Amino acid sequence: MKLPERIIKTCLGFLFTKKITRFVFFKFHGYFNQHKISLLGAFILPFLVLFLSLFIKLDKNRKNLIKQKLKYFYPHVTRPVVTPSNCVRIVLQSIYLALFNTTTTSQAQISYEQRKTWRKIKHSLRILRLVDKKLVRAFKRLWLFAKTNPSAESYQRISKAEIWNNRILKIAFFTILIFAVAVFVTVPFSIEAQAVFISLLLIVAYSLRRVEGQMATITMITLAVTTSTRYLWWRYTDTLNWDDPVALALGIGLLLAESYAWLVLILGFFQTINPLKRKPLPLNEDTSTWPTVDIYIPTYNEPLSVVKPTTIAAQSIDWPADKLNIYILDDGKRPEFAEFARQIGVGYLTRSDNNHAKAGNMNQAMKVTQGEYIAIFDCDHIPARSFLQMTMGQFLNDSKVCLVQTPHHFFSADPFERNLKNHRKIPNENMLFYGLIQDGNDMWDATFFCGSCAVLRRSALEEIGGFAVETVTEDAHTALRMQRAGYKTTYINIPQAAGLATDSLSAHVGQRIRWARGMAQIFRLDNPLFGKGLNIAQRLCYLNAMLHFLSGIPRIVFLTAPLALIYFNAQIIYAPFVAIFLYIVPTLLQVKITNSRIQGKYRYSFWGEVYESVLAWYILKPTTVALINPNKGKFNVTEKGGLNDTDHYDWTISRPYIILLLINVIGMTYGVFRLFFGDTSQIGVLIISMLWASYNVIILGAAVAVAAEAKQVRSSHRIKANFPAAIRLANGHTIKVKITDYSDNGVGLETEHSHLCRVNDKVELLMSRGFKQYSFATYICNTRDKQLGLTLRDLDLEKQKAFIQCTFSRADAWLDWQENFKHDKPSYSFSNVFYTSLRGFKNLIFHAPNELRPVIVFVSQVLYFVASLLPKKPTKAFKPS
Amino acid sequence: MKKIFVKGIKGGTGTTSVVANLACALRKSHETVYVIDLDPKSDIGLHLGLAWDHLLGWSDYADFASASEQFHQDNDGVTFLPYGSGSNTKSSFKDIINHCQQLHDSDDAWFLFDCPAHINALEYPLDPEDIFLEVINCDAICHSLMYKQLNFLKQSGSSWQHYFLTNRFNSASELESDLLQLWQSELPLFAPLYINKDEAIMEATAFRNVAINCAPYSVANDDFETLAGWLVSRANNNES
Repeated sequence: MKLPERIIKTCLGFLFTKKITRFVFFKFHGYFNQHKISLLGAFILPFLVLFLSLFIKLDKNRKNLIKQKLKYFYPHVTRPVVTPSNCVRIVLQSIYLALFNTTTTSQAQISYEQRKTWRKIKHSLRILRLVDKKLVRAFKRLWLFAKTNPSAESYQRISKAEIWNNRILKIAFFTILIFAVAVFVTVPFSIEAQAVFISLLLIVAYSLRRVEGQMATITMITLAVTTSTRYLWWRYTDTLNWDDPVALALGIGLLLAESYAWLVLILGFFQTINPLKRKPLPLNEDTSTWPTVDIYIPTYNEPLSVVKPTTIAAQSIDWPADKLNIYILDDGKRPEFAEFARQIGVGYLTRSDNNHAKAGNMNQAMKVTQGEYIAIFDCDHIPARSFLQMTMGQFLNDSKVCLVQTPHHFFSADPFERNLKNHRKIPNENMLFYGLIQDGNDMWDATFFCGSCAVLRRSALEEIGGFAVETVTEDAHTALRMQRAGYKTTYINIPQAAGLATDSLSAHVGQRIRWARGMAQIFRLDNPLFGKGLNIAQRLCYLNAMLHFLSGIPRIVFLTAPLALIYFNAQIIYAPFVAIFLYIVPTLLQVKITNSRIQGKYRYSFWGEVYESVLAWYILKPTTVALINPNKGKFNVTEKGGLNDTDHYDWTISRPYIILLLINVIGMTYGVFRLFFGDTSQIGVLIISMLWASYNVIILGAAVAVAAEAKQVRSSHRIKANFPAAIRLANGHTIKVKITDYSDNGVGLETEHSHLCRVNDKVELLMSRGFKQYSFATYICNTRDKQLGLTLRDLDLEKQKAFIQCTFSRADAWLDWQENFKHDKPSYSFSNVFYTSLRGFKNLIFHAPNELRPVIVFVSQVLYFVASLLPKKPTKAFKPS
Repeated sequence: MKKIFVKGIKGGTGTTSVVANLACALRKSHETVYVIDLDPKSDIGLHLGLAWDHLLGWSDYADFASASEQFHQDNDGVTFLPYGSGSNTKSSFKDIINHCQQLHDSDDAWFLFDCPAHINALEYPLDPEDIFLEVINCDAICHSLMYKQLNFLKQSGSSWQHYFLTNRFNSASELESDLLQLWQSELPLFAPLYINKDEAIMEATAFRNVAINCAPYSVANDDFETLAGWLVSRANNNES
């Protein structure tokens, strides 16, 4: 024993009994050696314990009990106890325990309460639904009542009166109507009046949304036009802050973007107000009167494997053989294409230069072919056998028809569908155009030519000097010129060909850039608003098509607008919070409800924003450049038929949205900060801005999700199908089967009962085309209960042809594509976009480059740590004795 | 009553199995079906579940009334009359055909006659609404026989509905699919359907049954259903 210790011990001996002295020293050694407490601390603590023991009896049981209690009340305090973070935890938890009721009730009671709440929620939901149903039904009845013609004689006499045909009366009626709308749009309302007015319109629109019929749609459109115009009027007259130049400049920017959106909305309504839904016309029985048709398959750098099926299917189109000529227009000038064309007996055309790309290629071909009609298929678009039967009737019926366009249908998933994994679940980007807009255009005789899957009248083409070569979208420009020359264009919304979608996001964006640039070029070089030959409706339809591609700047404005207030405190919408709320939210709802009704089957709510946001940045520059200098820029060919062998994230293409996303997220964080520490008078506007910004974050998140390029497993795409066939097994049994999918080298099929086939068995596949049955030698490549996968190996050209005739070129091959989709439900669609967006954030983290990894780890650790500081509710069952 | 005569253009084309399966297919759509075996081979019973050692048939009786006790019914409800051993030389197949009309429920019943290959169509008492199916296989012999038969029919001026029906078609064979395509495109009186070659038909006979019962999953089932449907539409055309 050391000297100082001995001295202290003696000193203590004067004051305490020997037992206590020993206890003090025992504890001191324990604290000092084992718990590593400082010398002084270790010396003082035993006295503290002694002092406490004067008041509390501290035997072993009591100690354990206290420990348990502490553990129960402070579950997240870590060991060792005395650390700064634990101090924070203990303080927070103590405050929490002191202020909040944490008494744990029994599990049974909790679940009872939960059930009760749940019942209440369900009950109120049911009431809500009932009210909704009643409202809608009442409106339906009211609507029908208004529609049914009362048979009263007086009514009949009035409704049949001559006076309704009076021109002056009509003009007067329309004047009154326009005047009424003008009044509704321009009269300034007080806040209360606006609230009543807008909620009335909203209720009407909401109740009408499920009522069937064209009139209901038109009513909803009228309401939406009124509301949105009123909104815009209010914005122009009431909401510009003339005192603050920054806010004024930004505000005018936003206002212009909104005006653009309004214009596109109104034009869109106009375009799709009454889709024509044209039906095919029957052809003359006598085939000798049918005209001659040339089929052009222009190609430049696509592989033969892509062009082959198209050519074969084109040969199989039902048309008198002596009146059908097929030409491969090869700008790549490849010998293997010439050889293939010779083998199967189609024309092969090349030219000395490659001027004007596709348009030039087809113009050259027109010089050496003679068909009265020209059908055009991009080299990856496989036509169905019924293509000409469906389309040619239009020409023979009306000699002014110069174009029959059919939809472009893609059997492979486009980058959006593939990367977001929603192929065949959500209508893709194309569907709105081919499902609705083209049909709407057809109503106004303004169908666009889309470059493929269409038939043109040669004489009309010759009259305008062949395909237009001035722009990179020769198709739209050609149609425009033919319309100027007095010809009609038509659209038949029956998919009669299918092709490959672009196979990467960058290719997809590249294609859209080309379209955008081309449209902007047409706008400059041959503006459809001016010039002769078009009627006002056609001009408006073309205008809308071009405006659509100018969406770059407005979209970016919308994606950044709320930040102006958050960052710079710039009041871009200079109005009281309540007014902003009462104008913006109902208008947006009204427009969304109306659009959801009109576009329901072809475009789900909120997805349009996602598609546009992805493209916005990329079409911004080319359209602007093309508007300023239309002759700049070259034709780029869209690449197709490629493979993505790994999952990867396309950082280059997603950079703009990641930057936008970052400034939005930072803005949100700053907004939260301002909510707590900023000027309290701004909170209302701030909250609106933050809601808007968070919507933008969701949309941008979805846009970011698209850039995660998913791996493409199969080089040949499987096409869903449903038609009967048969297989003959090696033992001679012939079993009927249903083909469930096929590709160019295999089929998937389903038997009625479980089968006994094994992998690598050789089976004969029997498929019929009309009365003719074809047999294909195949091998089984996979089996499952009732399913079989067959591969076709080493087919000769004849068999390949037969296979394509039995599959791709079936008349019904692509008919079901639009029936797959249900009508849009906005709330459902929003949650879909929301989850996609979450996946986008996950993707960002998952694919982050290695340099960023430490940062991500650090940030997540910080977040985890902060979360661990927060108070926790004591949970463990604890029975105080 | 609807009378269908089924005869092979030569021996061994699978006539009897066509008759048995067709009868069964018609029966499945709740028609009354009688099958009369006119072929001295007397093997229709083997397709329809009759015992092997049952030898008696209409040819062992002097007249139709006494022969009618040889009508049998199979499990599906097809009523059939076997040919028998031919011990009574007085009975002739023409009498049998004529007497069938006296059966009590014969008004909308189907009568299928399994005719031997060697007796030509002209020798049957055929009405204009009767259908005569000549079963062929896709081979060169049938090809030549068919054209001969066509000439013959043209000369003799047939008044009934005569069709050629392809049996045991195998599209894997180039010859067969070429022949079929040729016939389909240029042969008059060619039935617009065919029976695919299917092991199930042979196997079913080994079970003394028909393919429609033994292998409903097989193409044979569909083929016979199509054939039955086609015949129904033919017969309805007659009535209207």
